[in-house]
Amino acid sequence: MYRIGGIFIKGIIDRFEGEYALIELENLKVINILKDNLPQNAKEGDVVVIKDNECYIDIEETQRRKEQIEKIFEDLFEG
Amino acid sequence: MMKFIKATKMKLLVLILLIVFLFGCTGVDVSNQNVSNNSYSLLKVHFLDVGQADSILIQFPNGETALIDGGNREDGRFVVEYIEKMGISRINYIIATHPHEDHIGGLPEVIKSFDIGKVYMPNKTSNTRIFKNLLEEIKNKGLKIIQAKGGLSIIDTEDLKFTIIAPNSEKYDETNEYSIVNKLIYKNTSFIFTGDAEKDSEEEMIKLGYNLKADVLKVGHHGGRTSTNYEFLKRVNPKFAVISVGKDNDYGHPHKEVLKRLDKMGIKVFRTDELGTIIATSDGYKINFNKEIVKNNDDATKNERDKKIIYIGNKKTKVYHTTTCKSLPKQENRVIFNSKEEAEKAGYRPHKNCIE
Ligand SMILES: [Zn+2]
Ligand SMILES: [Zn+2]
Repeated sequence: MYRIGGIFIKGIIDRFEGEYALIELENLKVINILKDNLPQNAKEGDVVVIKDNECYIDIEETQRRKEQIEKIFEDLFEG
Repeated sequence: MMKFIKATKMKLLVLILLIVFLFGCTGVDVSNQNVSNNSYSLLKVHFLDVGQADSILIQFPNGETALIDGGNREDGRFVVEYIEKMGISRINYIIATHPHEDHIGGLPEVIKSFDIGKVYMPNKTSNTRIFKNLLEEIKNKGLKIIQAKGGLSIIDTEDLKFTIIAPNSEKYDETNEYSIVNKLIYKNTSFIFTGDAEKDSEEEMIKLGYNLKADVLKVGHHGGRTSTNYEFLKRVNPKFAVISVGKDNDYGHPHKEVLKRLDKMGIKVFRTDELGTIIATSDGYKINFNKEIVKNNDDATKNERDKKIIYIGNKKTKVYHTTTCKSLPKQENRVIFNSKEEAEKAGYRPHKNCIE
């Protein structure tokens, strides 16, 4: 999840509130991170990774999650 | 052990009910109103104390129940126990206003724990694990999701109407705008529940000519300034406003502008951060706010997020700061810690100006 002392945060952006992004970590906790700590184009639903000096969006995993969840949703959804 | 206690409690309750049933009863204290609530033709609306989140339990006078949102994920247990304490075993209508974690967080646990009638959601997904959990629990129960749209009626009888008045568009820029907005009318009294609906949705509701007048307004988006705009507020023209909000939250909710708008119109404001769980009771003519304090005991976990969870260390100076400190290190010198302990262990000291 994260290394003591170093940085390794990986999670999904649940939403933005004011100057914060709320990130759902892999251990299901939701934390506040200042938007400034994320790539500028980060948006709701993105899987983000913050690692030492790096910070990026995992585009593939974001897409994978989106497709998987939309599939389950469509099966249950009666429009 | 917990199970055993619960079982005994249930038995006791059944026994009491049996006694009441057998011997009739006039003198019994109705502190167990939860069980018998409905025989009094009362509508009860509970705004649960779930911190910086929403969860509203409705006990209709016809005996049915609805739950609008379920708080944050860590509020799930609190919400379930609260509903159990009301003597409820079936929730007829689950309304998941929109897929943000502070609204759907506790719902998977709720769906798992009760007999569920219908589930209403807007046509909007989220990529989070909690949203996936919610879908999984709905699937496990063999339930379907009914698409919430403005104009849809949930309960429609002469005395009691429970309707959906938003969302009114297929697509919005902001997830909050997808929020299901409900209007509840019981005889001469009425409520509006807005989820996190913001300006676009409020303007649509006005444009579409819905009758927005209500005695009680659940203020949108925890009192955020982009909701509860003056035009909308004027149409609702409530006597009472309820704000569901966490103490000392990081977002400054409720915003001053909103409190000012409410104050200017002479609306009485009730806040869950000040009062805990707020209960409004209507007999169809008069609404009482008989506030019984039901504090969410889970304060430890609940507040964890409201406190600064992460700290930013300066690799050069080995000093760590809160994320809102005015003198944060340059991007390339930052190290993020998940707790003070973690920072200390790594040999960092606290910055005196931002960490007490
Ligand atoms: Zn929201
Ligand atoms: Zn919210």
